[in-house]
Amino acid sequence: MKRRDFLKLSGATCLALASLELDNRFLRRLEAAEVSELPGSLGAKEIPSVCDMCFWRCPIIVKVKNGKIVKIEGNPKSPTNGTRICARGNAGIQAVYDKDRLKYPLKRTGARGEGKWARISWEEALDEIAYNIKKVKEKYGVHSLALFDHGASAGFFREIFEALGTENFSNEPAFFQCVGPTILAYLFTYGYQAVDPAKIDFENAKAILLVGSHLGENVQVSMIKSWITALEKGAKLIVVDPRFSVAAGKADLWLPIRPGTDMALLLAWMNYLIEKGLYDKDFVKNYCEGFEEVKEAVQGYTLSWAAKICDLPERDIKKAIEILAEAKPHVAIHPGRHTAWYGPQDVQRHRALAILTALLGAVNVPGGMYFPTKPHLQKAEFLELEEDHEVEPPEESLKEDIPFANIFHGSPTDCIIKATLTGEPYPVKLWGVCGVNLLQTIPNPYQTIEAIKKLDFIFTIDIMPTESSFWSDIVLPDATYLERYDRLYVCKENKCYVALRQPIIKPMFESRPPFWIAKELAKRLGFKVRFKDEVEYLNHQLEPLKLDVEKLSAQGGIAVFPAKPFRDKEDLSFGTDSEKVELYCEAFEDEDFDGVPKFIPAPAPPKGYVRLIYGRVPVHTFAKTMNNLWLNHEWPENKLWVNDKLAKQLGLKDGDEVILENQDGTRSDPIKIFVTPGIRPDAVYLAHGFGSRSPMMTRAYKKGVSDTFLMTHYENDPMMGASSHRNNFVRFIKDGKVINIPELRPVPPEIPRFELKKSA
Amino acid sequence: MKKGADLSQLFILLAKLWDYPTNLSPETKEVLEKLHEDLGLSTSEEAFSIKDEELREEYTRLFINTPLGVPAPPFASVYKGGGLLCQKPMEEAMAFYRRAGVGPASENEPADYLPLELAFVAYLLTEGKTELLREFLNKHLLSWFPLFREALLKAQPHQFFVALVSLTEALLSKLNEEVSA
Repeated sequence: MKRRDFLKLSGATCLALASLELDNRFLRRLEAAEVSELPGSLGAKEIPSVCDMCFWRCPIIVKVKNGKIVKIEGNPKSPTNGTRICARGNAGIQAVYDKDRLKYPLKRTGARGEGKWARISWEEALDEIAYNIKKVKEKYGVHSLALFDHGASAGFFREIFEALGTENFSNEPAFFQCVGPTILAYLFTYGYQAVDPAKIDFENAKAILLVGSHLGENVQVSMIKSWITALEKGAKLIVVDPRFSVAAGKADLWLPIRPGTDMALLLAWMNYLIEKGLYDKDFVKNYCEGFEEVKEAVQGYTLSWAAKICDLPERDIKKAIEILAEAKPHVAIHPGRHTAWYGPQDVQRHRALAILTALLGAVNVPGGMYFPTKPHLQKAEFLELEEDHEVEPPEESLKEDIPFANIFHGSPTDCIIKATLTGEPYPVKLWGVCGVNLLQTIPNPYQTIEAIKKLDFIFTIDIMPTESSFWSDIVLPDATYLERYDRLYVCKENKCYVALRQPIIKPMFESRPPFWIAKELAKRLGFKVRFKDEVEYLNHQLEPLKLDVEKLSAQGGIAVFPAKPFRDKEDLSFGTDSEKVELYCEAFEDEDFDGVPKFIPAPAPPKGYVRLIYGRVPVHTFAKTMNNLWLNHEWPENKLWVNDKLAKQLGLKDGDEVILENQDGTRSDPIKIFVTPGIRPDAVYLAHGFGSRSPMMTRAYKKGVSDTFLMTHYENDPMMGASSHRNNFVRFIKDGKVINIPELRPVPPEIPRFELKKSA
Repeated sequence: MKKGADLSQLFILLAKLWDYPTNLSPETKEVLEKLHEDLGLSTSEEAFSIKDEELREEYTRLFINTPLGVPAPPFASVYKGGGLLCQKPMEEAMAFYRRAGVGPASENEPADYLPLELAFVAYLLTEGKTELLREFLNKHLLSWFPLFREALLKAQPHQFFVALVSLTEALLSKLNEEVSA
């Protein structure tokens, strides 16, 4: 530079500038860094970790080069997924580098849900949360605090809320909108947690039964692998689904059942097995209780009756049960995962599946149910509580009327929302939301929004600015799974291993790992955290295995142990009261529910409407990934599946746009239709998770239609409190005109019809 | 105070202001006003009377998270890397830093974050690395800064940011003239 004074700044400016005493804190001297100039992922450093693009958590290898994550692959040392990961696993990179992600703690500056924010410091954000927790606790009592949580790291926050003393410390939407009914059904039949993930040995099955399953669209790599292996080995597949799903596409027999009638089919099958003597007599005699009760309860359910109720050809129903009976005991019956469908029948429907499994003797045998093997880890409690630390239950619990809610953590989400709205039986005034998007998960999001409006305070910890974040007062940016340690992934299935999730890069912007956030929050609430950091916490757990984080990472991020999925026949007993498989359930009967399931129909669509059903696409997880650059590119929006004959009758063509109006008059944005013979004419189908209502997720916002925002009606399972998702009905609006939908498959009188509200 | 240091300080000040300017002190406001006078830039009166709360909210809207997406993300990759974060321009910035033997002090923001790049200009000025400065400005910073400025102005920002972007632009272009002469 020739002239340094080219700027001609005035003396006054120079003086003023000098008074600011600025130093260049932005840069530091660099050690000689190794820089790889090789193309692509060549020359990248490989770090083992665990995926978190869905809850399945496959072990992975992450390649990082010059500080940037460049590729993700399956961990070849993993006995489950091996080198394979799914599209979402590959796209994890774009979860990190999404420019819409939450970057710094935010404080709401406008009205709730208005979308006005200011960045604040972590100090300020955490102080504010702690202040509000204390204030609400003092003013309304401890049970007025509620935490909604999900994910690998939610446990730290759960411990904090539990220690605070609220009964609402873990209200997992994932449980009360999803797998809860099945867990209860199988727990009371088999006495162990056989459901999450399904303890089913697909790989060695000779026949497989899937009822309303998203398998193949909901990609869980290891389960898909073993399912496909079974099909390659010649297993027969029966799929019960009103829609020609991916699984149906691979089926030997597809039963396009009338939605809401699955119980009729299962009960008729049970009856048929018993009547024809096709059940596994040895297994039933030696290992089951309550056979006579079942025999008596199901005897009226004939195949021809089921054919009428389910709207299926009787010969197909018969063929299916004969395939299953012939393959017994090597029959894989998936217990079901998301099963909060209709409300009153949900637990009993899965009890029926559990009983059918036992009648086929498909337990403790290759191809059937197995027992999980757990690695020996040391329990690690996050908080170190005072010895005299006590929590008091409320005078009147939220879940008083739900007899089986108590065996699970926390409270049903619906109870919390209702209490927040009504103040009964006590007020709920503060919500913490960790890693879950309430508004795209829980039916009737409009009601949830009204509840949020009544809160004194709501904070959210998330990675993306989801709808829940959008409605929060304080939003904390969570680190992605590629930027943090996490709780160990423990595979306790018919394979047994422990895998380490570890940071590949430092958390971007000011996102922080949940451990750190929880620790800072705990401190402010007067709790002592037992561990200095994640590594100390993980090492404590790994101790009995003579491992620590460093060793585990060095040996490829995974420690595999021998598994024993099947017990010796002479040792075979179950964790139930009778130590046998309880075909008849006394505990249910004691609470005035059926000890053996009886047919409970789900109301049929009101005249002029079809049922709204929903499912998944293989490249997305819930409503979590729609903003991901690569996944959005693959599948940016959903389409509405409409039966071809129905479409023809209505004059609708593939690609036409309609608006959906549900039974309560709630309308969707326009959506393109996909005309197909692969769905019944009494239902339409939407893939879940699309149609984001958070304008802060720019790629996903208003792309496609949200099924959840069309669910204004739901019913609660009376046993454990799940909220149903399949009791909503829609008709179309095209060019401003309402199209009532003709009934192409008449409904028999045994099935009641959903009654429209007078006002609708 | 040496004149070289003046300039360098000026760019550090800019870096700080682009990196979430909370608690705008009266002294800083004074410097900004004087600078605008010296450089003959017109500013609206409200530019430097912005309240702290308003400043935080407006910064968050423009650069961090906001409905329908932030209008002007302060990262080169967004403008020269297909609207994404952490693309080639980030590696490019990093390569320049390495040539000068420095790197970002924090790994929070990607290397092509505007405040980092401005701090790098300050560093090169202090060190007198004119050649590298010229190359950095021409091949990198000035290739995206005008696009950033355009995106920012389109979002009708508070006058404070109009003033800040004009000041930054004026200083960068004068500096570029100087190093290219």
